[in-house]
Parts: sequence; structure tokens; C-alpha cells
Amino acid sequence: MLRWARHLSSRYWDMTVFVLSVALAGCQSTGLVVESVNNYSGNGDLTNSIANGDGFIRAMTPPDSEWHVIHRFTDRLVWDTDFLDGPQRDARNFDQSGTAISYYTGHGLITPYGENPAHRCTSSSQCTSPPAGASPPGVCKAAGSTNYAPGDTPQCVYYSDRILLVNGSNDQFGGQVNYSAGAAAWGESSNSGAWRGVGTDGGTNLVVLDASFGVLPTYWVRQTQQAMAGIHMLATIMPVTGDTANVADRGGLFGGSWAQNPDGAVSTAWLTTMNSIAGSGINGGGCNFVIAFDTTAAKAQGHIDEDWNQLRNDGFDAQGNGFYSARWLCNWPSTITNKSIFELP
Amino acid sequence: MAMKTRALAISVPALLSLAACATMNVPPPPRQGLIPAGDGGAAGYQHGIDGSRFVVGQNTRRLVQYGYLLMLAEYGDTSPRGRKRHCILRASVKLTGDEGTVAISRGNGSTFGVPHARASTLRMPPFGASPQEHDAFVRDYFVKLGLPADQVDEVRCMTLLEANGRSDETAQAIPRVTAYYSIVKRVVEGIAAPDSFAWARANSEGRIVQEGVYWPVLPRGVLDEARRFKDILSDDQRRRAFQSRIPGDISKATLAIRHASATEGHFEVFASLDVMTRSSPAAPRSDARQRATDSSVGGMTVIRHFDINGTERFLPQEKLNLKDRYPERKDAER
Repeated sequence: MLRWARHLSSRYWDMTVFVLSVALAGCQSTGLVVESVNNYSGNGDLTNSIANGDGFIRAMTPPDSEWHVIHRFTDRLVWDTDFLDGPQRDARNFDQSGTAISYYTGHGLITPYGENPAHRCTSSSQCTSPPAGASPPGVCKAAGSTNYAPGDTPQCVYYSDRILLVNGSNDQFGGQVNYSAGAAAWGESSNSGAWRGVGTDGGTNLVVLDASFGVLPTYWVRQTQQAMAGIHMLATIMPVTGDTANVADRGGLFGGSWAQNPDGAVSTAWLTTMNSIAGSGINGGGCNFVIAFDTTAAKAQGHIDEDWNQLRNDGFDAQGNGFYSARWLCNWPSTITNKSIFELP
Repeated sequence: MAMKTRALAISVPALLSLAACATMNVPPPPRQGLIPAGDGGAAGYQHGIDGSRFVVGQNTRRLVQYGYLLMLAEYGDTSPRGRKRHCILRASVKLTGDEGTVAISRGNGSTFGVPHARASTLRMPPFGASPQEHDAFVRDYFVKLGLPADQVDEVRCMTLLEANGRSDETAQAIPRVTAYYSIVKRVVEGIAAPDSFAWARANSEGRIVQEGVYWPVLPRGVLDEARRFKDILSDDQRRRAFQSRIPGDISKATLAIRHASATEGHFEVFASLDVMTRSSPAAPRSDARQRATDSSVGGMTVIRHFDINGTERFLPQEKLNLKDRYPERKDAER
């Protein structure tokens, strides 16, 4: 195969350049949208979100870069409607056509998850009483012993929608962006098709939610599936016994990985930011997380293996969400092979 | 006009692609090994390709791109035309022996070995029979290459997991362990330097699949400052006086040597009392959900840095703001 490619490219060099250039130029998204919030008007202000988002931009846009900034919004110009589906909403902001990567850095809202008081457990069958605002199924979240997340003991937890929290000057939904329940749908395009029922006016290929409680164990599929409308991947953070640290260099380390090797895997780039951040970027036990969906297992796996060149390619937009492929890098050692490291059976 | 536009659309990406790959006046990589500190400082370590077990591939070549000195596998023909061909083709053709790239930051010397997305080395199981074996292997690997052994603190192991399946499955697939990453932590005279790192993922053949190293020299001045800071914190009276000058409870604070992240070209370092604060916003609407009741979580954390004078300090990466480069505009009707 390689010999054939060499022969062909040698004999038909000009034609090869032409064909590859058309292929590369015809269906590429190279835009970046970055929305960063520090200012919560005194209600939980942060200090590093803007520097974090700008670090991502700086790393991705050195001289001669193939990426460009479409939007950079901060603080009060980050509106909840930027993320929620609609031609005058996400399609002109977070999910604008031509975008390759949409990066949010700021708060995720804390929502009901465990019982009050905490229900200590030894088996998921004991978890049957979700608190108000959460719903079954309950699981016994594993923690505190060898192979499991450090810093707590097992307790019952339940499903709840995941919500970003912004503080925009023109918010229409109380500053809350629920991306689990269907109002957020990212990546719909002419390449993905309208399977998600939200048209084809979006177009981003990767969504990064650099926030608290991006997903929670063990509800990662249900909490992200509805947000899929064509994106190749969603990258976020999954705290287990702690919470996300608001650090200034996660974005820069992520973007730096592209500059270091554009043929490297995007998912791995996100996951391994943890290794270079002081304290791993999570206070307590937790994981960096990436998930991809598509119509077949092979396609979902293909997304999770995408390099930065493939990420730009709109021809790879997901055409369904029936199958998923996910990766985690968790900040503790585990050797468990026959059961989950996140929950007790 | 349409023809011109089309020609431009075709030629510009091709030219950009070729320009990005141009090789000209490429400097040699920095010497791998211990970086002497001079009188009273803490030595650093420069990682590189010499002696590295990171798999790049055959016939490595160098180029400077996006602020990094890159070392990557050459594609057969090493003529200028062959290099151009390599740059065009590597986006779509799997090259034999082409496994990854070593990138050394020209700004700060941080070094990353990044495998290609589908490198064969990624398919091997992890090294050793346990995470502890993996940790020991990685520690020894770096120390043998010149990382100062007396600066090695703990080695922290991270676990890579994967899962896949149907989205509608009621019983979700169990995430399976596929690799380990071992992170060597740095300590100098008992004081942590958490911004330094040397980490690697090794496969069952003992090859390094991925790695990252940033272990700069720490000058004498910052070590002197850290010692004085340590004295203050170990004296009850002086500690109380210091507490009165800063917000937050210092009983759980940590003395550390903090320096610029590997993302920064400008190096700064100072002795810091790191104070962890939590930022947990209340839901803004009256009908919004209540706060979490999971006792193990409590809101996003922020580490604040206070120097020996009680002045709050910010690391270079924490001061970045590109508002002048990207003025913000937004229409209300959006």
C-alpha cells in the first residue's frame, strides 16, 4: 500500500497535490470559539477562566497556524443562549458553522447527586431514594479503598442533568445551560444531517466543557447523549470524590499538544493535560473524560482516535448517537479488570 | 472570478501546508541531561531524544514549527521534494515506522513525546504487573537519563480507561484499564515544586509510548526565600502574624516553590504559601435546584498564592489576557 502510494504520488505528483488540496480545502473547519467566565457578580467568582481560555487560544494560534478565532467572549458577554439550540443562539455563537473547537471554561452548576445525609453503601441495590431534583437509577459510588478514587467512602448517588452556569448580560434561562435534557445540541451540519431534529445550522466538531461536574459517575452516556448533533467528541472533567480545579494552564496544555504533534490524538491531548498540571487539575479523585457518539461502534471509535487533522474534517461529522466510545484518565492507580472502578455492583 | 476563487481555495491551503513544513536553519536540540544550577540553586533536567525510549520512527529529522523544535520520522525520500511530499501525505497515509514526534519548546525547554493517533505502540498493554512496577520503571528511566534523584518525591500513577457500547444499554459497559501514566513529582529540600513534572506511559515492551518533562533550574534566591518562609511557618508567633496578613485559613495551606507552567515562555518563580479556596455559586433562580448533597464534592477550587510578604502573587499563565488582541463585540439581537 505504501509502495503504491509512493509510486502514485511520484508519477502523478501535481495531480496528487491537486486532489489532496481539494479534499483538504473543501470540508475543513478551522475556527475556534472560546467562552470564559470569571465574573459571577460575587456569587462564586473565579480567577483563572479567562487566562485558561486565552491560553488555549494562544497555543492554537502561533504564527502560520491553521486555526483562527471566530469568537472570544468573556464574563458578561457569555450568554446562556450562546450554547442553546437555535439559529439566533448557538448557531451564531458556540456552535457556529466553520468552528472546529468550542471551548467553555467556567462554572458547572452543582445539582442534587447524593442523598442528604449521605447514604453510605456497599452495593448499588441499596440506592433507591434519590433526593429531590435527582432520579433513578442509583448507584453505590466506589471510593476510599484500593483501586478506587481516594478521599471519601462509598455512597449512593443518582442521575441529574448537567448544567453550565454563566452570568451573561442577556441571559434568557437564568444563566443555566442544561446540556443533558435536549435544549443543547451541538455540531449539526449538512455533513451530519438533521438526524437530531435541530436543523443543520451548527457545525462545531469538538466541544470542551472545562467546568465543574462535566459528567458524573456513572451517568456519562445519559448526561451527554442529547447534546450530540454532529460533533465528533465532547471533552470534559468527571470529578469522583472532589471537584475541578479552576486552573490557568489546562487550555494551553491542550492546545500545545496540537503544536507538538498535529498527528496526535485529540482525545489523548485532553486527557493528559492532567499529567502536566500542578495537582492534576482536580481536587480529590477525578478523571479527564472524552466521549464520542455515532451510528456504529466503529465510527464512534474512529472519532475517539481522531487526530487534529481529522478533527477539522467536517466529512467526519457524527450522523447519529446510537453508539458511544469513551476514554478517561483518572488521577489514581487501579488494577480492576472485572468490574467498574467507579461503582460497587 | 469563480475560477480565481476556486484556484485560490485550492492553492492557499497547499502552500500553507508546505510552508509549515519547511525545514531551514534548524538548530540542534539542547543537550539532554542534568542542567547545573550554579552556586546554591537546584539543578534542572533537560529531556531530549538522546537515550529516550520514546518511539519516533526511522530516519528522524528536525524542523521548527509553532514554537517547538520537532523531531519526527522522515518519509523515505529526504530531498526537499520528498519532504514536501511527506508533509502532504502524512495527513492521509500511514507511514511505516512513523510513530510519533518529540517536541521541545523553544521558549522553556519543556519536552513532549506525542505518539501519532494510531501508533502501533499504543496498542500494547501497560508495562509491568502493577501500577507500582510502572511507577518504578518510569522513575528509573528518568533518573538514568539525568533527572536529579534527590529531587524525586513520590511517583503518582494515573489510570487510562476505555469503554464503548450501545447508548441505550441499560447495563453500561465496564470501563477497562488500558494504560498507566506515572508522574514523577519534584521536591527540593522537602518543599514541593508542583509545576515541574516528568511523566511517561510505558508499554509491555518497555518502550515509552508518551512522555512529558519540564524540570527547570531553580535559582538560589528562591530556595533562600523558601527556607525563610519555612522558618516563619514553623514559629507559632510569626505564623500567627503572617496569618493576619492574608485571607483564608493557612492551617491547611501548603508551602511550595511555584514556577511558570510549561505553557509559558517567560520564566518566573517564587516561594508561595498556596491557599486552596472553594468557589461554589448558588443557583441564580428561585426555582433552581438545590446544591449537591454528595458530601465529597464542594465546588470548584482555586489555589491562591501568597509570597513571604503576604502579597498575593500570580503565575505568568494566570495573568494572561488577550482582550487587546481580540476585542469583544456582541449584538443584543443575537
